[in-house]
Amino acid sequence: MTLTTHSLLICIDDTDDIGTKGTGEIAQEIAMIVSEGQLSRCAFVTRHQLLVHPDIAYTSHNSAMCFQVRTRLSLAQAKMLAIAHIKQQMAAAADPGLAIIDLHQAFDETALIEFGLAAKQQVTTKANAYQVAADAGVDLSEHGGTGDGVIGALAGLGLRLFGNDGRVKGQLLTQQVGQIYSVAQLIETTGVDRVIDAKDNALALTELVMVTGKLKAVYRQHQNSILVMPLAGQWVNADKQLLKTY
Amino acid sequence: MSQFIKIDSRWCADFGNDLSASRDIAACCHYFDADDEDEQVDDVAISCVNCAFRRWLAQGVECMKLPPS
Repeated sequence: MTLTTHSLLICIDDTDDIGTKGTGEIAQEIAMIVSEGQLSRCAFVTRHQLLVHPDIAYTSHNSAMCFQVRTRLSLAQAKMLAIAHIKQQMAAAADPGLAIIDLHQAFDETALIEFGLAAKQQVTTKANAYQVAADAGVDLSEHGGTGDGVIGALAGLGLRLFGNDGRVKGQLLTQQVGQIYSVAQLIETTGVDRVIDAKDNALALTELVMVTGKLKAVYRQHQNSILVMPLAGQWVNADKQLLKTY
Repeated sequence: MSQFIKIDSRWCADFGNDLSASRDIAACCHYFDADDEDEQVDDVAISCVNCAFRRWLAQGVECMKLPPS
């Protein structure tokens, strides 16, 4: 028997309101549902910061949440499940958007990356998002309110494809604060791809990092990467103010 | 503008890179409620910029809880 596996890239935006369940958490739940409880290693959610501007309607941050899942479900089946979950979990005042591509099918990666990068710098419209999605081969849909979340959903998809944007949602829990670990140990115990500095240089496996707080990862060069910074002559994991810039 | 001031009926502050005022204000604020950990940007937990009721602006943050008057 041959099983067909699809590799879907899914992005959602504007599902929440202040004081309600966040879009990131809803994204994680959809990832679990669509992957039928068997999350693949690539199913981590990336958070992509978009432009904050008075002419843009956003809840509190204007960020989109994107993830990749391998699934036996078709794009249409996954979409149906994602919509059902969004409708169940979304805030009353939300304007949700949902963008999906099948990475095994044709799509215009360049156009999507351009749209994503532009959405970090300038205001764009829902009509433009739909046009770009149609031209680029993206399944883009809105699910309540103004539907303006389609802009962020499409932009987040493009930024994930770009591979050099965003923070990985969640924290890496297996380290003890104040302890020193080799890069090899950090990679082994957390499952990230590598450990990098703020210039995107990967640290050698033998280099040492002191864990000073919650370990977080960023998405750089298409890899799940622990970010570190120099402090008092040694490497430490990035603080939140540095992570904010990603 | 390291304290909240009213601009067009909205309470806004721009703490810049020095978050000491953000921490001091939050420490005395009975509205403070920590946002999702992934949305926090200050390593000191109780800080206005980590609050679920702050809204980011092009410059600084807006408090969604301070009363209008």
